Order: sequence, then C-alpha cells, then structure tokens
Amino acid sequence: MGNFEVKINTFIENFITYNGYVKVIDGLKNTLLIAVSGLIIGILIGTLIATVRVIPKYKLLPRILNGFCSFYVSLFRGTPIVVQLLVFYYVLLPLMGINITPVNVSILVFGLNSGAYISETMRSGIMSVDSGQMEAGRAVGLSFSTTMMKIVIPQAVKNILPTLGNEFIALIKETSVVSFVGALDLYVAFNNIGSSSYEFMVPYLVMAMIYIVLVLIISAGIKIMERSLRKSDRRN
Amino acid sequence: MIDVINLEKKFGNNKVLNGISVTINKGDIICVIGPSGSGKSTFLRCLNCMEDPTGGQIIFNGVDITDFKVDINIHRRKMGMVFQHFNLFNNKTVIQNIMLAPVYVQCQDLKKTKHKNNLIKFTNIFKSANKKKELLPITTSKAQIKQEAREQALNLLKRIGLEDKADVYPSTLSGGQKQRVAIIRSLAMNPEVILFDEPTSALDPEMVGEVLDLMKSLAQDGMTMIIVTHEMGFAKEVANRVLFIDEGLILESAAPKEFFENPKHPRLKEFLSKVL
Ligand SMILES: Nc1ncnc2c1ncn2[C@@H]1O[C@H](COP(=O)(O)OP(=O)(O)OP(=O)(O)O)[C@@H](O)[C@H]1O
Ligand SMILES: [Mg+2]
Repeated sequence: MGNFEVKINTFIENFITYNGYVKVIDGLKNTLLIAVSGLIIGILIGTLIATVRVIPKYKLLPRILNGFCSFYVSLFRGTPIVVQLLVFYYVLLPLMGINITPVNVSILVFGLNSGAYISETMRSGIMSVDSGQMEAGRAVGLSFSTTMMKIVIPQAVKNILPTLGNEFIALIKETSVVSFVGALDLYVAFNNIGSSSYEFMVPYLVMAMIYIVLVLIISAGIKIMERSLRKSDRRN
Repeated sequence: MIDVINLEKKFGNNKVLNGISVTINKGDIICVIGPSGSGKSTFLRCLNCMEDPTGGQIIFNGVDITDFKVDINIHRRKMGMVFQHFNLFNNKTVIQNIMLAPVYVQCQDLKKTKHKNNLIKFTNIFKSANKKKELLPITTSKAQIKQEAREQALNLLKRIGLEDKADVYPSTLSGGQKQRVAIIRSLAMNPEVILFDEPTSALDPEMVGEVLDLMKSLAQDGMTMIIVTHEMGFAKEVANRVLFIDEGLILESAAPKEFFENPKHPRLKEFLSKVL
C-alpha cells in the first residue's frame, strides 16, 4: 500500500502545487457547458422535428419536411458521435470556411446529435397526449402550431421528463470524447495531470469519481423536479 | 346562418355522409339523433371543418368554409364546440382554460394593428405633410385585454357557480363541472353557434341534469345550438327542430312534437320504438 500512498502524494502535488486543479475546473466547466448547451439545442431541434413528424400529411410541404427530418434523424443516429465530431471539425466546417473553437464545435455536434435522439422521445411524448387536447385547441380557433406550443408540447414534456433527464446524463458521459477535436474537458485535464508524472492510476480514479458524483447530483435533481410536477397535478 | 349543401364525407372508401343538406337559422336549437355509427359526429365535425368534407359546401355567414383558401381558424372562433369527453386543457387552470383563446386572439389582433401602424409611420416619412396617413386607433393594451378576459371568465364562472374553482386544475373537477367549464370556455369566444357532440354521454347520471340545465339557459338566451344527443326528453323540451340521421342521410327533419308523436320514415319509427 505504500506504493499507493506515493501515487496519491504525486497526484496531490500535481493537482495543487502545480496548478492541475485549474485545468480540472476548466475541464469541468467545458464538460457541463457542452452537455447543458447540447441538451438545450437538442430539445429545441427535437421538438421541432417531432412536431413536423406529427403534422397531418395531406399537403406537399409537410411531406417534404418530414422526409428531410427522417433523413436527419437516421444520419445522426446511424453514425458514431466521434465520427460526427471529426467530420464537422475537420471536414464540414473548414469546407464552409467557418472557423470555431473545439468547444463550440462540440456544443454544435452534441446539440445536433441529441436533437435526433430527443425527437423520437418527444414524438412519443406528443403521441401520449390525448388527441382531444389538439381538437379542443383547434375548435376554439387556435392554429395547429399555437395549440402545439401552448397545450400539447407542455404536456408532452411533462410526460417525457424522466427520459430527458436520462438523455442529459448520457450527454454528460458522452462528452468525454470531445478531446478527439482538442477540446479541454475533464478527461483531458486529468490526462494532463497523469502524463506529467507518468502516473495515471489516481488521476483517472478521481476523474471517475467526479463523473459519478455529477450523475448522482443530476439524478437527484430530476427526482425533485418530477415530484414537484406531480404535485401541480393535485394542486387545489 | 349556416347552409349545408349536399355535404359528403368519405373515410377512404367508407362513405359516411351521403349528401346532407340543411339550413340552420339564427336562434335555432337543433337536436340530431340517430343510431350509433350513422354519422352524427362526423356531420357535426364537418360543420366547423374539424373533418374536411369530401364533397358539398358549408356556407357560414355567406362564406364557403370548405374552401381550403379560407382561414378556417377565424370562422371557428364564431363556432363553439363542446365534446363528449370535455377536452379541457389539462396543463391550464380552469380560468386559464376560459381565457386562453380570447386573450390570444385579441393580442394577435393588437399585434397586427401595431405592425400596420409601423408600416404607416414608415411610409409617412416619404409623404408631404398634408398627405400623411392617419394611424389606426389603438384603444387597448395587452394588460387591459387580460384584465377584461379575466373579468369575463369570472362572470361566466359565477354563472355556473364555480367561481371558487377558478384556480384549480381540471383534473380535480367532477365530470359535470368539467363539462360546464367546457361550455363556458366556448362561450368566452362569443360564438354565434355552439356545436355539442353528446355532451352528457360520458357523465354519471346524477350529473347529466346540471349540464342540461346550463344548455337550457343558453337556449333561453337565444344561442344557436346544434346538439347531437341521446337525451330524447331534452330534445322534446328544448329543440325547435329534430333531425334523424341514418346511414349518412337526414331521413326526417321536423318540430319535436311532430317528430316524436307522428314520425313518418319507417326507420325513425323503428328507432324510436327501440329507444323510447
Ligand atoms: N377518423 C375516422 N377515420 C375513419 N373512419 C371514421 C373516422 N371517424 C368516423 N369514422 C367512421 O364513420 C362512421 C360514422 O361515425 P360517427 O362517429 O360519425 O358516428 P356517430 O353517429 O357519431 O356514432 P355514435 O353514436 O356511436 O357516436 C363510423 O363507421 C366510423 O367508423
Ligand atoms: Mg358520435
């Protein structure tokens, strides 16, 4: 065990004395930033796609939009996220002459990617709302999109909140691949500490613990949110 | 007020309405009865184009609303609809249910007027002083619209004795209360006609009376109503005309006395002998 003590001391030295913690905090910030922004973009895109997919398809325009959305979803669900990151950072954006930071590329790609996944969740959420809700909205003269925004989607979101929470947790975990395009996240920060002393055991152990704590905190947050929402059902 | 001309509706190959023609005048209270699956709901839902007719015309105040070029939402605001299963907005409180559409519609109109005024102001820049166009008058504000809608909603709730339920969610109401709220929700748009699709069929028997009473009081106020119902007693008492629909056709249309005491069509005779 003496050996392990040495490793811990090395880590502490690197973490505190040589300012390793600065990068860890930056990495944590980026991890959270990418996951949270990705989730928000994902919810917006996912809601939009889900709405397009439930529009009645008598007319040409909804059909075209629907085809485009199906293509989008199968594209982002059918390829690994690492590949998407690499293609955006090294191929698509340079071809379009756009130059943005690795963190911003990660936000973009994680947003687009989770949009594809959330669209399916959101669609099932929308389908679970009684069709009478849409009918009642249309019957008082509200348009399809107004009824969707004010009546159907709020109820759908409530139904799928647990799934959205899981999506957020999945995002937090998946962001650990952003180092492929050179973004500084938790993994890169701890990897740096490890490589400076050729000693990886303790840094990676601490990294794993941080991920676990993050996920536990988020899970607890979701539970609290669900409970307060259920209360509003019964409120008198 | 509403002229239905040769209305047809097909679902795929299933022809549900086979050419219905009827005229509904202001103040009419028309009850529609008929066997299950005869197309009563489909007929009613075609009247405000919740189902798009596949043939014929519906002339509402001179406009053929089956025309796809017509903005149906504007006309639906003048045609209330009450459903068998109430369909109150679950994510809104009772008073929000009532205020939502009136507030939204008036705020939209306000926004449009403001946009138009901005356009006038812009074009005025290029006009000589004596040719400047006047701005459209704006007599209200968002806050005022909300305030007025709120007062109206509270008055309507008072009318049905549920003002203490203004801030609860629909899930806490009884069936009869839900349906009465649904009825005043459609009243809040000041409609010219209200369509009812079996408004009491999903209610426990002891709650049917309160809903029918509210409908009677609307009738006394002169509201035009078209009611699909199985409540023969109500039809006899309140309607000024009763329609019998079977297999997508109006087989009989008469005043209630004549309709129930002296039915002509053999199918209606058979139907009445079963249900009365
Ligand atoms: N959206 C739909 N798609 C396909 N068929 C439908 C649809 N709505 C109604 N139908 C069919 O149209 C026919 C008439 O239905 P409708 O609901 O108008 O009858 P109804 O007279 O209201 O009956 P009930 O008294 O049971 O309510 C039925 O055979 C039904 O299966
Ligand atoms: Mg019916």
